[in-house]
Amino acid sequence: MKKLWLYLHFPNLQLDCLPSEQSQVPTIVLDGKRNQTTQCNSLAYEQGVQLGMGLGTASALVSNLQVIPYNPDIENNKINEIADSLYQLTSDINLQTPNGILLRCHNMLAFYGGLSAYWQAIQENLKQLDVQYQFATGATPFAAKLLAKTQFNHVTDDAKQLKNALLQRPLEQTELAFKTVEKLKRVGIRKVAELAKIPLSDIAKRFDIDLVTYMGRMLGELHHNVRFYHPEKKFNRRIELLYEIDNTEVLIHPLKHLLSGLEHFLKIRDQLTEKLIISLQQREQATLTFDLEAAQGEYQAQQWQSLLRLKLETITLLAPVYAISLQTGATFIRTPDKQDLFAAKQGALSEAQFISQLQAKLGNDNVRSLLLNNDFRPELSSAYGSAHAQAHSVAVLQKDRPALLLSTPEVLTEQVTINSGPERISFGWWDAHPVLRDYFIARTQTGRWYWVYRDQQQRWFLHGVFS
Amino acid sequence: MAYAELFCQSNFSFLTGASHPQELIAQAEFLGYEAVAITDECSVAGVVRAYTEHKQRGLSVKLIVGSLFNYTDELSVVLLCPTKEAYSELCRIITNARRRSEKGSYQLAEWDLKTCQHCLVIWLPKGDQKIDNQWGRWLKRHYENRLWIGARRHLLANEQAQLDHCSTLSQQFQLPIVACGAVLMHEAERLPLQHVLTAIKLGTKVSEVGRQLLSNSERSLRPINKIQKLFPQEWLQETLLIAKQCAFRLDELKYQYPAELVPAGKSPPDYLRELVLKGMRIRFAEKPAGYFSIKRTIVRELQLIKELRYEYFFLTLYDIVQFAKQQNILYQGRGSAANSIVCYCLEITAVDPRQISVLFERFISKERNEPPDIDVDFEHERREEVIQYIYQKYGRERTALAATVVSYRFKSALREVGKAMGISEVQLDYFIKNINRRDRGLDWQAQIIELGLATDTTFAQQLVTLVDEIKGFPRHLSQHVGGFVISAGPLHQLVPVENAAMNERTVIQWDKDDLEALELLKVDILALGMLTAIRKIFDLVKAFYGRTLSIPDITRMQDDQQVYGMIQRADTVGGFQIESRAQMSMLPRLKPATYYDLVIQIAIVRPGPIQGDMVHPFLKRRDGSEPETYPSPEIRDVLSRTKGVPIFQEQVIKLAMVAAGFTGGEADQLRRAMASWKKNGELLKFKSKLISGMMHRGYSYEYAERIFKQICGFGEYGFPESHSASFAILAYVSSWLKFYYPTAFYVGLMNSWPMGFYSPAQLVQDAMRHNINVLPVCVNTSDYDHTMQQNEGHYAIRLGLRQGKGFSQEGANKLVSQRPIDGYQHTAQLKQIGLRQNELQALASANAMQVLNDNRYQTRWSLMEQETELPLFKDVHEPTAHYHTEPTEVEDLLEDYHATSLTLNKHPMQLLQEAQLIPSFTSARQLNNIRHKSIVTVTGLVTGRQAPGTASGVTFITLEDHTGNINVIVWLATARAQKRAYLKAQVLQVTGILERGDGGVTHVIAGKLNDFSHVLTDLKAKSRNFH
Repeated sequence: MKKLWLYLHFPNLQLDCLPSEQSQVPTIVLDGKRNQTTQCNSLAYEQGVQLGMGLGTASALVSNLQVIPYNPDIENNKINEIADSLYQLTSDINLQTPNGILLRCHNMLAFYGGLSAYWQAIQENLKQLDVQYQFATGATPFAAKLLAKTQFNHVTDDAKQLKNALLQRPLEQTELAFKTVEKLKRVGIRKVAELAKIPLSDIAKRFDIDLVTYMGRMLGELHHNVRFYHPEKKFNRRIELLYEIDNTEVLIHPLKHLLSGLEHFLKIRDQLTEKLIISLQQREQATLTFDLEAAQGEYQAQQWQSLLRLKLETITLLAPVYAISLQTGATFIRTPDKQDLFAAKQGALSEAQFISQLQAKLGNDNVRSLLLNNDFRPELSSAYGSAHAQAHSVAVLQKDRPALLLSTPEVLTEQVTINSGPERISFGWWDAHPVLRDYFIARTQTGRWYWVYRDQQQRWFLHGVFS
Repeated sequence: MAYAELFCQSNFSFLTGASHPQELIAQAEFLGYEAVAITDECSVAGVVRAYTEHKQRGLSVKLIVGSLFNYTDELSVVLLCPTKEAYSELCRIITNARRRSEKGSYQLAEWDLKTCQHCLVIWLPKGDQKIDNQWGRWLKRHYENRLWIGARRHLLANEQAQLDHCSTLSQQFQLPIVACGAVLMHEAERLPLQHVLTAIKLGTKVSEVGRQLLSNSERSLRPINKIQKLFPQEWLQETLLIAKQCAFRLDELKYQYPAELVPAGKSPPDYLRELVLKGMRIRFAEKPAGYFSIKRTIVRELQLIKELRYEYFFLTLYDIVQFAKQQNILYQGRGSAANSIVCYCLEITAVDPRQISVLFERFISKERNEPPDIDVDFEHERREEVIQYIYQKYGRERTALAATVVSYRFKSALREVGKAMGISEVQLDYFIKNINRRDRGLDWQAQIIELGLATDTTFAQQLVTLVDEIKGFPRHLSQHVGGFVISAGPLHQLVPVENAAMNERTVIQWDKDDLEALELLKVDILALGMLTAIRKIFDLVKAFYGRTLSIPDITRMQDDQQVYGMIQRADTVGGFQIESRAQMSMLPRLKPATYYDLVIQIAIVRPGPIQGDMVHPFLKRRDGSEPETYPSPEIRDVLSRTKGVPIFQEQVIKLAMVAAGFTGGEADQLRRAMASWKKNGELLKFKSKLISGMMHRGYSYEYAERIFKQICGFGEYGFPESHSASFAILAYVSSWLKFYYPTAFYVGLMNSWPMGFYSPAQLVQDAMRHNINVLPVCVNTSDYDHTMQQNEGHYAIRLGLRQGKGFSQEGANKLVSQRPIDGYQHTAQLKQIGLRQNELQALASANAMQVLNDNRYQTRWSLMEQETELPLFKDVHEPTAHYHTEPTEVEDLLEDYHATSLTLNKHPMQLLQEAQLIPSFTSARQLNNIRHKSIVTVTGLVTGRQAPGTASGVTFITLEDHTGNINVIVWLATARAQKRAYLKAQVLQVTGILERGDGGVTHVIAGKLNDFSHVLTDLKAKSRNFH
């Protein structure tokens, strides 16, 4: 059987991951390190932006240009999602990161009854994924890739047509190193056809082995071993939000979307999981991550949703969220429940599971964990966090701090005598809680030790009590 | 109650101190302190600024010099200088610590501290019992009677325990305690900036630093009544006790010159006189007219030198230039003192006094009390030899470079502060790039919210304040371009010496302003590309025409009208200082015809005079269309040489003195305010004094205001006449050489590249337009350097192998030395001489093997063959059986540009025209026949874009076609409307209106711009972009 490969090239993958409203504004993806535009949408293109352009030039050409820094993780995530989706249609998939997928077609055609039916199925699937792509078939992987990257955009098994098209391709779009392509250009060789005319032995005498290997593989004279993709065991998806969300209630909606993707993922593998890890990417804050644990393995979106709802109520967002990702913990095959209805389970709950159960029973407000912050402002130096959050330790504890800190300072009404101080704290001018206070350790007439402070208006407050 | 602050760091403790030294001392004065010590970490870089502020404002607070040192984590001390010996000691300690370590850091050794005999020491205990006990013992042993414990009160948690600990140590070791502030800022309001500096230092955002930041603003200079409440009386008394012991002042530093400059048995004035007389006999061998007055001037000058005791300065320079002379290195001195007859006789300059007799401020001004200002330019390729000579003669100990303080400018300030405030770098970059292109009229602050850099006004306000505060803050010390300090004894007794970034170079901690303030002398050894070029041209003229020339030889011939004719035609590509676009457009209008005209030409075509609106009045008066009027004879004296329009810096100074009654010192301050990088805010301080002074002497208010406006226009661009005079010499000499020996001229310039305004490609174009043949690079006839060769009865330029990109001097040597008598016959031979593969390729691409095979693709192909490199295959020729490609004319052209950055074949525009790839256009040469104000279409390669900041958003674009250059003017509106073509085009078509100004200068005012770059996508001809 004649070998046939299909290559899908996704030129604007990161742009495609952005919410659809982004296409109303001229937008580019910029590789900050090399200062080059790597992706640009049609609005930007119309105004003269080209791939490879630097930031200065592009922004000079388009006054309201949106610039997104290139993030390979986003593309990686999306490619995996696409591959996972295509896996249901075709078995031999090879990921050509960052933005391409290679499919081995010839052994699938029998199932579909021909190339056009096969291609139609793939197209439908891609339509649902809503990504821009270029495509081509080819006799070898490299041939298909080159044709796809140069916008051949045809699916055919006519070997002659494919060969002719391939020969006309410029060498710049191949996988050859930049230096090699330059060197070839400088002896007038610019297209595949020109290079193919020269015997491999002459090439070998002048260039390194990579060129020989590449040409050999592309033209089918050398064998090309391709390793195939195995779908992930774990679910890991990320979505960029349409607009920044700073209200946890509103977060439910995009999360529902992820959960249904999860359900689908688990269902086709016939798996369950007990733990979900959810990360909320926030502006100017560290990413907020929390776990959702179920008492037993779940796959249904509905079940996770209720747990999620409860969990979200315990979370305070310090900054708006612009992206969410969802991962599973360990997954396992679903086995029918064979447990004895009357046998009691031995206490084998993990800490996380225990907390989930407590929350479910006591209500979420009552289950929290304590965190330490590296901040001079007493009210911010410790905080209640979600029950699952990890407490990070601070190197040195502060001195002269009371055992009990009032959650809001109270106006001082008692008579006290000052014992030590002042400790002046002038901190936090950069955010919404600047503080300028003089703290003192004082003793009441009844012998209690108070932590009091005087504010800028010379008013006295009680902020804590020493044990 | 009185107080002295003994522990205080300025912003010269980089990224720690948040106030300038001047601010600290001014605030200390304001608060009524007895004294303040500037004690930066292992540095005295900031003390001179505090000293200058002190002197200028006549402050009464005492300034004490000292430094903070941290040794491992266990010991911190502040060393203070009571006497000059202590100061020398401190400098020695700092030098040792810094020399031991790489640039920017220091490493103290116990030995440094042990051998400190004179400094006063304040110990800052760590708070750890064991460590403090150990060090307490050590310190007590070495510093018995000059040791204190420093106690600080910053209102921190648990401070009482710290103070108790100090008391315990004090009793244990019987040491007095002194109160100190550990000051990091001059006022509490600087706390946010101090926080930002810490964030920058740690590379994080301010909101994430946490408790490593200061918790309050107590580390500032505090009012005395507050300090009184914080410390016990005895501890405050100790501050006064220490301050009283410190009597050292920076002006005690006396500069000692190296003694070896004067031979034994003679005194400096005698020796100088002897040298001058000797020089006089050579320079004035044929006694010229006015010889007697020359002699009288010499006597006067020597008298002044003796009075001010500057003999050594001149002797140092004399010694250096004698070395250069012996080594045949061209040099030229410039500066007001350089234009004296003494300097002419000492051969420091080559400016014939008769030519400069019209020069204005010719020597040291006694009244200004300023050290003589002389810079010496040397050939740029050989300056290093002169520097090595200095190091060798005086030794590393006694000579070092002056420092330059690299400080925060707007862009770096915004970037660093923005990052610390949490703004993403991509956003900051975007903002900075966008405000660059905008109208400079709009304040950047107004654009912050507009461009999305900040979303609320408080944040925006904070950002603006912080950026404004940090601008001008020092970031690090760097080495000055060429300013050397040479002293008699080890330099580190005067000022600490650190390692520079360059290997084997050392730098003192003070910059040139500091040196001037303390009246220490430096010698400027600078590099000038044109001197290299001139020497090479002289060598060529000697080799090919048998004539020996020198700069004085040429200047002695006085003004050659043919040369001036060429200059007036603006045929000045390659001419020193008069070759830029702006210059070339002014030459036909100003029409210089004498040496002094050139002096004016060089100074007047600069942003300063243009901005101050001096050019037009000058031209009008020169033509006679406007009368020259002077409100008084004093002003006539000053301004008549320039037709009543102030053009030179010296004129402004003299005006201030003569017309407004400024004293020498005040005039000097005015000069500094003009010359420094400060905003015109500084100059405004002088406005009322100048205007009232002038009105007092009977001048009208309007006249006084006009003069002031012109001074403001000068800003930092006003050029000194003395420098212009030296440059004019070189401008004339280079033009003279261009006129009489053009082939040698171009060859000399190209061999000295990089230098000057034009690239070799443009120089070659100019040579060809002067009907000089240019022969291509050839493996059989070229050397590494460009040279001259006989061709069709004349000398032609033979391009050298250096023009091939990627071809080195070693490669050239190999090629030339192994070249057979009849030349190379086969490419295979070239493979056997030991050149690297990429060098062979470079030669092939440059078509240097044309004689062997004129298909350079094929040549490259055969060179790539690795087999014939092996000895066995030596005789196998032409292995190109399967290769059949030939470059087209365009590909040949592209290869030319890629490999050599120029082409000797058809110009790209000509090729494009012949291939009909672009619509028809008017060529540069044809423009001369077009009428003024007609519509015209021109097309060419964009070889230059200049957007001088002063002209109101206008850009000058230079287009090049096969017949010459075209000057295009693009107004801001046109640029904005056609951004793409304006910014990106490499081949540009312009349709616009032709304007012909006075003197025949032609411009095209752009209307429609069309980008045709796509027709030559690979063209590598680069365009110089100035913005």
